[in-house]
Amino acid sequence: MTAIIETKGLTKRYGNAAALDGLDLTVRKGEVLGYLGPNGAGKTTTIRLLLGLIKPSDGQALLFGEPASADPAGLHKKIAYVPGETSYWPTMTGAETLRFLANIHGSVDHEYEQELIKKFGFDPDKKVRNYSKGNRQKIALIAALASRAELLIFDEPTSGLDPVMAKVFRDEVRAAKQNGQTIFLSSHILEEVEELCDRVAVLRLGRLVEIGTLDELRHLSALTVEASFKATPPDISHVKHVSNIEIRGNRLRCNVNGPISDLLSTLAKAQPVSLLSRKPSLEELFLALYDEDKK
Amino acid sequence: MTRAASAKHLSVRVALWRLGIRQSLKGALVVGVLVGFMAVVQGLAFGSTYPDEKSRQAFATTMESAPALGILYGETKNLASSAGYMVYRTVPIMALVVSVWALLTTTKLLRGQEEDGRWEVVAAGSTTPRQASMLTLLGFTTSFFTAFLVAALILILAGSFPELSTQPSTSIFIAAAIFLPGLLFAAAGVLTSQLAITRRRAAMYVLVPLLTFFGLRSIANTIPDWYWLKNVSPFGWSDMINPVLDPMPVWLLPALLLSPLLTGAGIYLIGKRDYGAGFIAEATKAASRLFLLRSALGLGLRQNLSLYVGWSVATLAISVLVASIMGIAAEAVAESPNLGAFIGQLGGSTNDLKIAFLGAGMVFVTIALLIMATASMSSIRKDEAKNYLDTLLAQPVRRSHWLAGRLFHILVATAIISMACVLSTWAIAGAQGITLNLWTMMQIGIALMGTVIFLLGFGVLLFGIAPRFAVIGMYSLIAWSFVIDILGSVITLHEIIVKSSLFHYVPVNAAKTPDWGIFILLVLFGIALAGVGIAAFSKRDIVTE
Ligand SMILES: Nc1ncnc2c1ncn2[C@@H]1O[C@H](COP(=O)(O)OP(=O)(O)O)[C@@H](O)[C@H]1O
Ligand SMILES: [Mg+2]
Repeated sequence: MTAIIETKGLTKRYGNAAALDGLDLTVRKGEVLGYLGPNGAGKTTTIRLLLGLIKPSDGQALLFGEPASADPAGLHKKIAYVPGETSYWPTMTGAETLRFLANIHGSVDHEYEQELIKKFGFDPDKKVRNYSKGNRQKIALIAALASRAELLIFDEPTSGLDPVMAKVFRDEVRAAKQNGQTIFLSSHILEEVEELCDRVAVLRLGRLVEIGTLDELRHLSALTVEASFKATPPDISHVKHVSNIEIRGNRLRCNVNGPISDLLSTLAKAQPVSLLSRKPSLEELFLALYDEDKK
Repeated sequence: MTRAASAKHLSVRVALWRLGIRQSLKGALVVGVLVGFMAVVQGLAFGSTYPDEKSRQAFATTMESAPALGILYGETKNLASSAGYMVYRTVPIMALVVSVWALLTTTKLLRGQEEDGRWEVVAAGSTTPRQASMLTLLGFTTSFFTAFLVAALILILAGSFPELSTQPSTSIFIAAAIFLPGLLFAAAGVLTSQLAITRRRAAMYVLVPLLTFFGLRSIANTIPDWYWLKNVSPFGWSDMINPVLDPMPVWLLPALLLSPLLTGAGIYLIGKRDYGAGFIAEATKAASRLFLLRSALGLGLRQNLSLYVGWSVATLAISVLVASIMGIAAEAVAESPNLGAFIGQLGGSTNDLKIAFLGAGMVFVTIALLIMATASMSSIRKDEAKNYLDTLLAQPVRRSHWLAGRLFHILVATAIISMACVLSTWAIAGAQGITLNLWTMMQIGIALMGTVIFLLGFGVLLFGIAPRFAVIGMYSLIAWSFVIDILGSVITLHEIIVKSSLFHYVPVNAAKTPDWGIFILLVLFGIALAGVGIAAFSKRDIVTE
């Protein structure tokens, strides 16, 4: 498959601090890549570099095989972008803004645009100044989706949307994927990521910590085991692959990183009343990945 | 309230007060120094031009017969002393400058911050919006008085020079006459900030009456029968304080009484409205107008139309004003050889005073064009600072095209105004029986653009390499040129310094074909600087606020 986005050692430094540090990333045609990381991880910096709004201190970014900064205007015909914080002209109406964005982008599916306006419940006849943050966000989403661009770049696009509208967004992104569009989705919303993304890249302090499918990432992380006993739980501190042991009364809880057989045999000897093991929730997974101590 | 809680409360209050100071003090210091400097330079110029009592009396008598000169300046009375001349030349103009600064600052503090969403955090804190606004205003008031004190101090210190020999009490009076209208229009800004929902409109609601009041004052100065108009204009009150010959402190009162009233009304209204709302309601539904939405440049034009039109009207008004009084003014001055020489030097012609007056008018027009170019550059930088440029450049919009296009708009707008000014001057002069060569005037209209192009090129260069300093750099160059020009009329400056002033290159003589060599040099330099600036802009990071 061809790479739509490819970065090689992409770096952005502000003074001595690196906002993005040697990013190597490939986004393939037709995939949805989730781009995750805590605040200040460098997600927005990455996107601004891809769009040529800022210039790399080192390394390079290729879009559709061309350097991102060579002819940004030409590349942008194939790209639509939704920022986390929209900046539209306060005195223009929603309709004027949409018309303007469609005009300068050069491609728009008018029918689909009308459909999106309906689906998002957007009232285009107000001035931008009078819209809430969520409604301004809708302008960006409608314009980007209606352009049917080959590459869609979203920077925390649903931060101002209510759950119903966030659902509409997810439906439309899925439809875009079905159309063969490629999607780069920076997000904080795990539900969104889990539902939409083929692969996930996790960024922390400007560095790529993990990349892979969600299942692959899950394997990297521990299994949680919970057990309860008639009497005091057994001492498992010497058991291999076990960490984060918590004991409350007759209940025990721990994480297992690796084969589980040693733990099971130790627990079985103490005659557990109940035993539960589960994969980590996405939240636990990302808390673990974001957590500074672990990496 | 616990002790800790009340201590915290106090520190929040102090922080708000400081915020108000921080956002106004820099401007206040500039204004204070400018006022003091301008007044002192005018006084010294007078002192050195008319060193003895006899020449001063002769000058004063001449000027009294030409009240029309008071359109932009003060009353043409009491001009037999440096202090009197200082008042005549500086009080009205500087009162205008202080007033505009003051209203722009209070509307920025009380509406601009809210409009930009920066006030929400403050207003949502432990203070009510009303308290927060009052504390910020207290900060502004602190800055305002600092400006007044700086100006007064400069005047008092300079008053001890023999050329000026002004009493400290007179100096304080002069400073008060300059600053009082400002206090009133600042207060008006507090009120309109509650009425309008944008800062721009809040400022317009004050600016229109302000200019009207200034106009009324000008009319009162020109037409003796309408002298009473002064009673209804804050700028008239300033004139009537009359600090030098016959001080009338009672005219300090109207502004001192009205300011708290307007401020109080504004502060009362703050508590009565929602965050982000204003009392002059705006319909939430708005009809869409789809003109000029085809390209990023079209939008740039659309968003800046009011700026261009506003400046055109203002510049043309100045030009028409100067041309209209040219005849009267020249006759008055003709009787005083000393003044004639002074104006002649400023206006670039010593043998024809009418032409010299026109030349002085050309300098005004050039200043207006330069400031307009800078304001337009400020709008370009604002597009970047406020992220609008992100929105544009994420689309298929070429950076260099966008910047070059915006510059082209500015050039066309200033060129049209420049031409309109010389043509209207030509027509008005003709109506007064002064025949000017139309072709020469048109050439001057073109040649005036040389300095504008150079300044723009300089601004674009700064914008390309240090965007945060582009606008301040342009204003500094204008201010520098202005200072050099004024100093040059008082003392002899080194030639290199004189040549560093933009006004040195303004073709002011309406009877002479402009020097095309200078024009071509200015244009070439301007284009070269702009070229480097555009190239640098294409390669640099977009710098938002
Ligand atoms: N213009 C800038 N100057 C200095 N530091 C910056 C600038 N822009 C971003 N940073 C820093 O770079 C880091 C990454 O920021 P950003 O990409 O916005 O993070 P994210 O979008 O993941 O929350 C942050 O530490 C931020 O403070
Ligand atoms: Mg971000």
